[in-house]
Amino acid sequence: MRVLQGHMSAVSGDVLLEVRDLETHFPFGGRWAGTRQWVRAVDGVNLEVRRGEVLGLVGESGSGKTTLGRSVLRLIEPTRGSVRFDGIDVLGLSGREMRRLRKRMQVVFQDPYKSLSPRMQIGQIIAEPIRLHSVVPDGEVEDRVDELLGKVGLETYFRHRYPHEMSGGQRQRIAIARALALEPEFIVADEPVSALDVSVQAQILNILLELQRSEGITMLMISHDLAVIERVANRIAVMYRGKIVEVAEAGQLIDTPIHPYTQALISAVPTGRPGERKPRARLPAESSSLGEPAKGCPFAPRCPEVQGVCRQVVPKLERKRGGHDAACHIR
Amino acid sequence: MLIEVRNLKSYFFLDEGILKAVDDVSFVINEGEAVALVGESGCGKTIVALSLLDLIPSPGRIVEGQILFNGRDLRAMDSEQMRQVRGRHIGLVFQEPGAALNPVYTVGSQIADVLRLHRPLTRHEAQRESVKLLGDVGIADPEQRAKAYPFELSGGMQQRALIATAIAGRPELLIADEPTTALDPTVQAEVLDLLRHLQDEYDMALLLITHDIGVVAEMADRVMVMYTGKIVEMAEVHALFQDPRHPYTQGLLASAPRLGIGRGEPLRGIPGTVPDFLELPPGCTFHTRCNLADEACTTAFPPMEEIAPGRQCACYKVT
Repeated sequence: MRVLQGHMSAVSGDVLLEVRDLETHFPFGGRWAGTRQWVRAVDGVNLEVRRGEVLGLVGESGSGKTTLGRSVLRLIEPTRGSVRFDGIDVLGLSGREMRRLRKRMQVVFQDPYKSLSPRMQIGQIIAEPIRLHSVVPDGEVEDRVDELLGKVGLETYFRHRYPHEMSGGQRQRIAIARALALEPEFIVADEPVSALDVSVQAQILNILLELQRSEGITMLMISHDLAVIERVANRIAVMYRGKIVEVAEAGQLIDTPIHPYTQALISAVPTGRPGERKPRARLPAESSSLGEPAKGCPFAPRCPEVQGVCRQVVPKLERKRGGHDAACHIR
Repeated sequence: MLIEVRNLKSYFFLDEGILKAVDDVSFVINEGEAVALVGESGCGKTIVALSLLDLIPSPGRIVEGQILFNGRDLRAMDSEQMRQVRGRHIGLVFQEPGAALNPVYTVGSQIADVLRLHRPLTRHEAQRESVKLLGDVGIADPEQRAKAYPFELSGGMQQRALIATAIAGRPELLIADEPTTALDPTVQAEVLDLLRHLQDEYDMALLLITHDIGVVAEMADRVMVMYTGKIVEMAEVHALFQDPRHPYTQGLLASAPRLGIGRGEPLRGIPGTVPDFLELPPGCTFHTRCNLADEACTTAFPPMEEIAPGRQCACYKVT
């Protein structure tokens, strides 16, 4: 029996972020007409993030998961589609309105070293957004910084340190504290622990989970590591070549995956038990080039169960058994 | 006993001080056995591998210890003899296949070069043999792929090609340093399957260097756990996972999420961070992060002691 995760109760069920038919394309190849091609990094994504939940987004490199995370925050401008945050049409906002909305939506990146200014002390780094958005009166900024440091488990003397004086785990704590400075309702965490040592990963994941539990912060957590996502997410979405191929409650997705790609991905993860080996779905190597137009299911060229229709018609993400949403013709 | 390392010390002589990357490490690898050397980044595990091959970059060098391979002392060899050992007796696979393959030669000719270094083959025979090797490592259409340059291959295929060059000399020991870390999970699984298959097929011993607990469970017969330049625990793989004894090993296993295990339980990390090599705590270097530590742990680094048959641990609190 699956143990009900303690933080499930925080999830209210109504939708905070709604993504519809979202596409983000990047140009590549020649600059001249006719030679330019487009990578469809995000290619028709439909996704909902419920208020109070951690939605895990997994996929292999190049699947478009990072682009999707940035597109919903408009750190990258999507090509078409819609993103609604708490009912607000995000893509329709002016620059000024968007800046105001950013207070409510924050991001934590993989590499905390690259995202922290090397010339600023930690205290300044965290205080900057507080002052910029006048979150608290000037006289209270210092106290607020100390409070934020406490939330991410750092002593107040870290205020006077510089990023280079800190370890990777400490820097990631700072990045989280800075994201929290504006009291956001929603955080996109893009591979927040993959640059960190295993023994430090757990500390950071626990901080993020605590924020969800105690402050009700909704999270989209992006990772290539299914085992990490399983431990922290309420629901998991699987992305393949710009599309969501399956979404389900976390335990359901791991125990009874429906989409052949999800099944292959899960069978590829080592069991973590010596002497135990899962039968593996063998996939033919990916061969097609980036710019190839999407015809049919993106997984069709590698799918062990491919049929004629799969090469012709793009499958829609639909409700299947066990409450899974999956995009597959044959399931 | 294929290789025996005794009291190996490999230090880096920096302006800031002496960095003891490998500090008094002893272990044995038997014929055909798969041994995992596991630890977090910067614990010295890669330097162990480079020490065995005499490839430590300056300002580092082996300062002490013996490395016996089939009873011959590698440290007593001159550079020509050592060149024979590399590739012919010990093969090496790195994390970044793209960086390890030469970009301006075809994959086939790089393998052929290795072959001709170790066996009296004509150019033509070597080419033919390299195509066969590419087939052995599971590359489809090996004849065509042999003519490809590294950049024309995917990451997974590059790693297969690199493995082909590493096994071309039919080494008795293959050292694989984070061979799948840069790869996606589905590709990682295939490369691990391949390594295991080759190990059986070629009757090779494997020294697998990794930070990934899942990979260790899947691949290793025996495990050595390394922390700040020292091996702190050594055990058969089942014993280690069932009953880790060193507090660091316990923390490491509890930190790494494993699919389908411990759902709904909070993750347990290890408090603090890995200390800087140049500012190591006195005594047991783990004592600053260890909840069992007391006065005794701050005096001297605990020696590796046999705690059960085939099982060693370096901790005053474990008996």
